[in-house]
Amino acid sequence: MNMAWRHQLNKHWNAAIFSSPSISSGFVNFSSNGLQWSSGLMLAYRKSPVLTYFLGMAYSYQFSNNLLIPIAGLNWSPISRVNLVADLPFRGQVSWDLNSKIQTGFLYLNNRFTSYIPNIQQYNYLWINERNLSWFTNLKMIRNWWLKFDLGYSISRELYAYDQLTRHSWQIGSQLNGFNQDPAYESSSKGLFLQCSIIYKMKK
Amino acid sequence: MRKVLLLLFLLYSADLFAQNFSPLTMEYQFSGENSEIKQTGSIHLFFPVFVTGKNQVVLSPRYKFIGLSDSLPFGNTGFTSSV
Repeated sequence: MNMAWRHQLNKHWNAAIFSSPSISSGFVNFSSNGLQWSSGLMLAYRKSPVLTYFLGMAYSYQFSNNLLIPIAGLNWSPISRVNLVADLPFRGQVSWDLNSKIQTGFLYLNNRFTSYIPNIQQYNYLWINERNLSWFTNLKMIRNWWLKFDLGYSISRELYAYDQLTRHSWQIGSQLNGFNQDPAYESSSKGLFLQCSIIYKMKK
Repeated sequence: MRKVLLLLFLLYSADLFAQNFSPLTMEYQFSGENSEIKQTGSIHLFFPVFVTGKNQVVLSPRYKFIGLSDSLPFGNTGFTSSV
């Protein structure tokens, strides 16, 4: 359950503390060994109504790995109806509001997934990272309901499985290359994907 | 009650990390034949539970599933994550 507390420090600065306990495991043989945790502190500086910077630090515990993740990004509307969001190094998005019912743009996303692998001796932990580049279109349907289509290409889909992880390892970074040890199984692929989404928005 | 919830949503500026969040997002993604990751999907909620002048507390539970190829040697083709 992600939980966050935001406090407005003054006219320009906001601070946020967040925590995210989670559990990931096999769908059929669900196991409590898949418990993970992350938490952190964010600071956002609203320079103007169209430009906000943010930075922070997150701590993530994934099985036996302790990870410190620096966070930096911005949300910028350089011209009317164009918005740029960067959440480095995980996400970058440029969007354009064609009108009040159609938005379009491009998204770069590092999509990660880690899980415990239950009931198999040879592999215990799964790590997946997709680097996706997509063209998206948001269509307003009725009231605040939107349909979103992403047509994209996975530049890389890396999948690693580990047997036992080194106890109490520490890393600083974004863990975009797997846990800090050699995997017992690895594969990579690339290719097209299509994503469909239904979104309920309170704003435009 | 519905009006109170709507008011809470409107009071919340939805830019906690300088990004826009939505109260409800459901996603489903499928990939090509040669991909070992066959499909992924998620349901993501985002709602305030406490709002005052300078403080906001929000919850954003998320459920995600991922379906892998049968050819992988993990004995499981479906994995889920609950945040």
